[in-house]
Amino acid sequence: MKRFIMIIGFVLMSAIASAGLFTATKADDIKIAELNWQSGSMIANIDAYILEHGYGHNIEIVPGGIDATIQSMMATGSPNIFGEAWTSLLGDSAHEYIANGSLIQVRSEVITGAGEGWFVPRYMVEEYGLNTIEDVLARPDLFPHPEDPSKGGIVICPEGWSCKKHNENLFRAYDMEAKGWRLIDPGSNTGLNAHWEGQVIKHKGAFGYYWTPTVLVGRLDLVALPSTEGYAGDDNWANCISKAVDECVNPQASSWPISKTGTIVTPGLNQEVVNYLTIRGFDGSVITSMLVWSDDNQATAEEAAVEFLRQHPEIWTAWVTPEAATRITASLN
Amino acid sequence: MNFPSLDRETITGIKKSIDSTFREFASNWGEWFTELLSPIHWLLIHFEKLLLATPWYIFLGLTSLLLWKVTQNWKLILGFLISFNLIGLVGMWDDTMRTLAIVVVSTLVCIVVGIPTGILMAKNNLAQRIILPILDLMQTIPSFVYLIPVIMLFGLGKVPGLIAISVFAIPPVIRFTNIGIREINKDLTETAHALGLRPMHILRLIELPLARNVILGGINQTVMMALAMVVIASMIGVRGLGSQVMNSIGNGYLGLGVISGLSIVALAIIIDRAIQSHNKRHDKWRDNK
Repeated sequence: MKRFIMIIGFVLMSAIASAGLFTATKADDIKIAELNWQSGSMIANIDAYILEHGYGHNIEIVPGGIDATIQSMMATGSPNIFGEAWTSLLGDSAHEYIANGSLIQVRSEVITGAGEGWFVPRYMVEEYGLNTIEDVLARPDLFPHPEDPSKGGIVICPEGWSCKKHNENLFRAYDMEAKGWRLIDPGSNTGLNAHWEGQVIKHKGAFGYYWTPTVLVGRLDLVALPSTEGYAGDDNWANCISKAVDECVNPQASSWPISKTGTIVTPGLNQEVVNYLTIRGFDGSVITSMLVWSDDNQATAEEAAVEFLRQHPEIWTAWVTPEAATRITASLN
Repeated sequence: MNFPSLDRETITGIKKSIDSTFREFASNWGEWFTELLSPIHWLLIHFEKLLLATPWYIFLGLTSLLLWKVTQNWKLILGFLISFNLIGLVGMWDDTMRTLAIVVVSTLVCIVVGIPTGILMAKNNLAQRIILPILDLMQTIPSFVYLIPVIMLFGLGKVPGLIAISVFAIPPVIRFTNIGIREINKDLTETAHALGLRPMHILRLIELPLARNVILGGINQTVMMALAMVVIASMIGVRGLGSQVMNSIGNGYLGLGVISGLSIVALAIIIDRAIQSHNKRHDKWRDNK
């Protein structure tokens, strides 16, 4: 047994040593975090392609998620580029790191018009003229709740998502119970997606939580609704709507805030890389259309990135130097 | 060397044509299926409402009486009262009632569909050959593979939950009914036949009574599997103990996880012991006679 442990230990140690060697020899590589959601992984692949083929950098794409990536960047300084960072979800310590320069935010809006919200399918807007949240709330009859069709149903976030609190507090802020509404708990992300998909296929009323840019919003043509109240301020949002229901005594009705998606990098990156990241940004509708394209073709994020570069040279050539643009165009053909 | 697979376009084409065929189907037939299952939906909603509206002491009293009638086992009743009082004390009463409601209705559906299917299999070898692999499929296919289409057809909530539970939980009752009837000594049925009993009579007077314990064992298994599925059901919007488990997983609440998990266990053990103890009593009664 003792010998067995020793062997295991030896194997582990040599693995760690060789991993160290491995990273040491590739010190010039730029590591890009491929985020575990659709737009995040596509943007990572676009960045990787441009930096690799346009500027000749060695790029390594490493898998990640919001928490995993930012924690790893703070602890080890790797990966180097976090392309689509939802800044409101990063946590306080990450903001401290950015404030004291240990991490650098090179761009504050990567995707315009990204964010969460309450959506309806476009046909509900066109057929019934529902242009605001208030318009929808006046018509619970168009959105019958599955278990009590006399009430309207609004689908919210599954258990365990932080947005569940936002939904519950907004439900109270709009006094929706009195207006004849009940919550629909989708149970999981899968349940939420299948609910939207099913309702739209059947051309029925559907109202509730989703976020953009996503394939689902693009494919089902969902529209985010504003509130006639507008956005009721950060204080209301941060100190009431975002808190647990019993900590939010007097919630105010409000539009959903626009989510900021930034790009965060580790210090010491090559200046031309930083320049590129500072300029490049996407319109939400372009991202959505590319996501729908990749869904239609069941393409990988890498294929979607190449397709974006092929379809939209007018967008990305503005981000890069003319020489880089030539090299990228050449590599695409 | 890579396996010579079809080219990507063809595979994508196949997957996409499955998708679009299903979407077409759902948009044309979704409403019809929802109507078809609306009586079960009604039963699910109202049985849950009934259980939630019943005052706890009346529920405890009536269930104790029921348990006494089926098992005459006072230890079981004591165990039931203690565990349900604990469940109530930790605030899980309503969720336990919701879970009980969907498990009871799902089990009923399984029995109503399963026992006749089992009888058919026992009587007909071809049916057995066809149904057995289907049962294997139902027990092994990952639930979400069929749940996503089911939600698209029926919407979120109890009906897809019931389908998820029943698909997974119905095989034991079918298998046990089949085996129970097949295991009966052929001499008995042949004698009955020679005496002029019709197949329906043989079934009712000889086969079902003799297979009774085996079938009850199957029902017991079905209930256990139904309880095991409540967490999956909660992932498609069925409220109950399962959603508390999901809540605890999503937020990392260990305590809530333990409490809601143990409540499911308590429910399972009581139902299991009730059926077993009923079987034992029945055997004793038959042996004495």
